[in-house]
Amino acid sequence: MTLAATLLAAEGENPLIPHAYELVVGSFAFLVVFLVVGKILTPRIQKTLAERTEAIEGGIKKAEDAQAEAQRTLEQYRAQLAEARQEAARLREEAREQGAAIKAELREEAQTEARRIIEAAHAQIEADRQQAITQLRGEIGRLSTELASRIVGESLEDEARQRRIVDRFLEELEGRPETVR
Amino acid sequence: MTPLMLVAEDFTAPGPSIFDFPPLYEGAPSWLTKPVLMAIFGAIVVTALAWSAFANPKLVPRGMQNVGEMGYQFVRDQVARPFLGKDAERWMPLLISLFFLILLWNLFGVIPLIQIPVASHIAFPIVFAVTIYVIKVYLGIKHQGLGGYFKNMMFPPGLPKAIYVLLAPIEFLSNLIIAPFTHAVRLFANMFAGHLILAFFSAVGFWFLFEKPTLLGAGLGVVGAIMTIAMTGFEMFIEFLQAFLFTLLAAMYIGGSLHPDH
Amino acid sequence: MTMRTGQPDMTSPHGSCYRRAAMSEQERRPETDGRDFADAAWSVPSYLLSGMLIWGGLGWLLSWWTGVHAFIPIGVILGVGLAAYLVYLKYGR
Repeated sequence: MTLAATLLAAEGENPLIPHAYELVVGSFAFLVVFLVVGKILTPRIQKTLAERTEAIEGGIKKAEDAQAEAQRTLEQYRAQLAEARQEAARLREEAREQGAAIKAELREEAQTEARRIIEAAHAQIEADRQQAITQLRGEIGRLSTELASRIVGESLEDEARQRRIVDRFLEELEGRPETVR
Repeated sequence: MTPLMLVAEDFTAPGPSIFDFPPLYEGAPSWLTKPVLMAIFGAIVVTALAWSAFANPKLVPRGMQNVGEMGYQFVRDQVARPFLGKDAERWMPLLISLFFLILLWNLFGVIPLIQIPVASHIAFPIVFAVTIYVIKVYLGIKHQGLGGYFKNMMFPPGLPKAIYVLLAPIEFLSNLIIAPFTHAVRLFANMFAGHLILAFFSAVGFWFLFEKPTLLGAGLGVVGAIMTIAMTGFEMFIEFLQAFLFTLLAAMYIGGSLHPDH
Repeated sequence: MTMRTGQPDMTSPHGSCYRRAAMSEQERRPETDGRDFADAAWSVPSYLLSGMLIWGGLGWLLSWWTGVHAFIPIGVILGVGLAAYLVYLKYGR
């Protein structure tokens, strides 16, 4: 192997022994790069990347907010609608109850009135009857007296005569205004 | 001797000496070599690119910011978050600096005219590995206490005492010496070997096609040229992978010190 | 030294990574699975090498002291075995 032979045989510096001046230059170069690239520039790009992430996330957040807002409004509308429905149902129920109450009240009133009218009629009838009885009683007495005097005044000859008298009396009686009914 | 070896008689494969660089010009200080220059150049380029991408970042990225964000998110999602969880953001400055600088230094290996992966000089990986090592031990002691750190590392509860005698030295050596060592050496060795292989194939191609073109050697030269192209693509992948792995291990060590119990 | 809130209780005798494998599937968060795998993948070579070095080194010391060279391979093999056992304890169960 030519390569290996030359490698071993080559004269010159040992590549594993560092040059002191290269250590110094390397440290210096690294320090400069670290200070400028690391300490000055890297924070800038970190800031920019963070801002970019924030901007993207901000956009997403905004969209999410809008969606949440829409959702909220929808919920609100739904709630209002439900509330209105409930209110309507409540009113209907109330009206129905009120109607029923009014109906019951009216019926009650009507019944009371009817009872009152009937009672009044009864009282009137009773009064009329009493009056009729009283009147009748007087009339009957007077008529009896009249009939008796006619019978006595007329000659009570035969039975046929008597019958005619009675019939005439009754006809007269019927011809009078009706007081007893 | 086969004919092929006859053809290759004068050819000398490139060795580790290709990593030795003289001072840039006559009379220059001995430390001013090509790798040193490229290390500084790389740091400047990384800083400039990062500046153009991140200096004034927009919510809607364009141009360099797009590229930079891709790199940033790669490190954040593939390295920082899996190993550091909610501490990821806090360690991103360190990890992003590590990753970008190592990646560019590595990619210098295949960029024409530069053609030297900076990390093939072990001093540079050592700088990174030592930095991470110091942070790892500091965080471990800070978050777990001096005794707690070593106790958690070497004597995790739940085992019979006798076993500790056998295992604790292994844990100690593995965590405090071998791990940082391999952390640096893995990056160094990959860049070193990869560059050597690239140099070998391109040297074969150049030698047999241009330097000493012979009928017999031409085939070899063509193979060398094709392999150079193929290996360049492969090297780019390795260079990226090693930058990623180095950063990943750094995050793993830091995460391990922050949350010893996972 | 203060512990930050939200960290697992280090003083608890049950808070061991040796027990991780004993957790139920629900207890293991999915994102930590990849991390555990990476942990294991990068720790195994390190442990094996450490085991070899520690126990091989002890074997070398013993062989230097007693003159019996067999202690070196015995130490290396013992070290690899112990490291493999350690890996099994941490990640295999």
